[in-house]
Amino acid sequence: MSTSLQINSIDFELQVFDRDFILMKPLEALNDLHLIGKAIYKENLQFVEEVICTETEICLKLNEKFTTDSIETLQAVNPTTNSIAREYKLPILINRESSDWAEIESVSGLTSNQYIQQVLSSSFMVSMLGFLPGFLYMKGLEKHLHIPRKKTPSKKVKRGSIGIGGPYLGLYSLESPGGWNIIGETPLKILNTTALPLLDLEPGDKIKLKEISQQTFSALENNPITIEEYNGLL
Amino acid sequence: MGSCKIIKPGLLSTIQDSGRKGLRYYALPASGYLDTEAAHLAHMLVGNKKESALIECNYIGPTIEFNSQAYLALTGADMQWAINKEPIQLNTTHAINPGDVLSSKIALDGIRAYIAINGTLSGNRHFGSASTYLPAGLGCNNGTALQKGEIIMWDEHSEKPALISIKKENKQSELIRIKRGPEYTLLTEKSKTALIEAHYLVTTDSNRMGARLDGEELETTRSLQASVATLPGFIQLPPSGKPIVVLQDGQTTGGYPRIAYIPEEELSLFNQLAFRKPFRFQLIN
Repeated sequence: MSTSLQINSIDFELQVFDRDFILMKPLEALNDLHLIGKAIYKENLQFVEEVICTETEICLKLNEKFTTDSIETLQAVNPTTNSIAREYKLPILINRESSDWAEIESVSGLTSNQYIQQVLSSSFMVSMLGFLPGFLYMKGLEKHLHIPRKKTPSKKVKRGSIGIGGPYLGLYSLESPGGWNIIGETPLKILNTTALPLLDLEPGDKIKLKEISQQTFSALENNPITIEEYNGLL
Repeated sequence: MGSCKIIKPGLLSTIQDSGRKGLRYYALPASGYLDTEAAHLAHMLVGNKKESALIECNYIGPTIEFNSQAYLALTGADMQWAINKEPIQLNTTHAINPGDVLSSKIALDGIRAYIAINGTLSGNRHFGSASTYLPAGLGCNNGTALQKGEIIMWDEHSEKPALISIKKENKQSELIRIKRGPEYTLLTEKSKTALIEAHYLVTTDSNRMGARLDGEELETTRSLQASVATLPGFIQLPPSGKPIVVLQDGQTTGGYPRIAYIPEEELSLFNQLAFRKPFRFQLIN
C-alpha cells in the first residue's frame, strides 16, 4: 500500500508493507531528513519497534500495536527545526604507509600529500549511521576527491580507521571487514556500549579533521576522552 | 548458584535471549534467538520466562559437564543429545545430577538447537539483554562464543519445573514464504519468475549476520544510488546475483536492492534450513 504523509510541510510517500514495516520517502531530496528520523525515534511511538534513518528514507519496523490510526499519530510528530548543529574537530593520525594510497593517487590524480591537505581543509557533516554500530558516514568531499570502494574488501579494518568510500568519509568504530580506502586513524572512541546514547556523534554534527602526531595519538589512546572533552582542550 | 563447564564448545554456541530491540537507530542490531519458537518451547519446559537467556547451538553442539543439579530442556535441531552417553529425548524436561555430562554431535535435521536451564544465566547484560553480539562484544560471556573450559553459572528458580515431554516433529520446509520487498519491481521479468521457481540453498559461508544463498542468479534493471535500511529477513541482491538474507545480527543499512523479505513469523523456519538443502520461495502477497 502506498499513500502520502506530511510532516512539517514536507511531503512523504508512505509505503506500508502489511503490518511489517513502513518506508517514508521524501518526495524531494532533503538535506535534513535526519531531523525527522530523530524526532520519530525520540517519540517512542508504541507501534514502532525500530527506526532506521538513511539519507533517502526512514524505515519503521512495526509491532502488533500498529492500527489504521497509527499513521495519524506519525503525522503529528513535530521535529525541532531550529536546532543548532554541533561542531567538532576529529583528531586523525594520517597513515602515510597505507596500501590504499596507490589507488587514491591514481583515481584523484593528486599526490598523497595534496590529497591529505584537501581532505584536512574540507568541512564534513555526519549524514548517516550504519551499517555496523558506530560506523559514521560523513558528507563533504568535493567530487574530485571521491574514490570508489575497493572491489575486494579487506578482511580486517582496524577500529578507529578513517577511510574514503565513494563520496563519503567514513569512520569504523569497530574492527570489521571493509572496502573503504583507509587514510588514517582516530584514537577517540565515539561508541559507548554500556549506556545511551550509543554514539557521541549524530547526524547533522559538523566535523573537521585535525591532524595529530603519533605522540598525541598514543596519549589519547592511553587516556581515553570523549570528543566533547577533546574539543574542550583545543 | 548452579554451574557447568564447557568441555567442547561445538561449532558456534552463544548465549541468546529475546534481544536488545529499538537500537537499530544507532546501527545496533537486536540479535536474539534465530529460532524463536524453539527457544520459547525450551524455556516453557524448564519453567523460565520466554524472553530469558539460554544457549543457542549451531550445526555441531557442545559437550557440557554439570557441577550441580539442574533442570534442562533441548529443543530445535536434533543434535543427537545424550547424558552420560545415553541418548535422551528432545523437547523434554530432564533432571540433571552433579557430574552428568551432556554431549551432542552434528545436527540431523535443522541447524539450530537450544539448551535452556531452569534459572537465570549469570553475566553481563548490555541494554537489558544477554544476547551475544560478536562484532561489538556485547552480551553475557563478554560477548564471545562459548570456549573450552569456560564455566557457565545460573541462579536457579526456587520453583522446580514439572517434568514434561512434548511430541513435536521438526518441520523441514521446502517452501519459504516471502513478500515483495521495496525494490521487487527492479527485478527483470525473468528474475521475478526465477525467484519463485528456481531452487535455492543456504551456503556454509553464512553466519548470524546473514545467510548467503546459492542458486539461479537474479538480475535487477539498475543498482541503488544510496544506502537503504535493512531488517532481519530482508533479501538483498548484491551484484553477484546470489541473494543474501539479513539475519538477527545483520547490518542495519545496505547498498543492495531489497527484492523481497521473509516475514518475521517465517524466519525461524528459514533459520533451521540445513546447509545446501534445496528449497523454494513462495510469494504470498
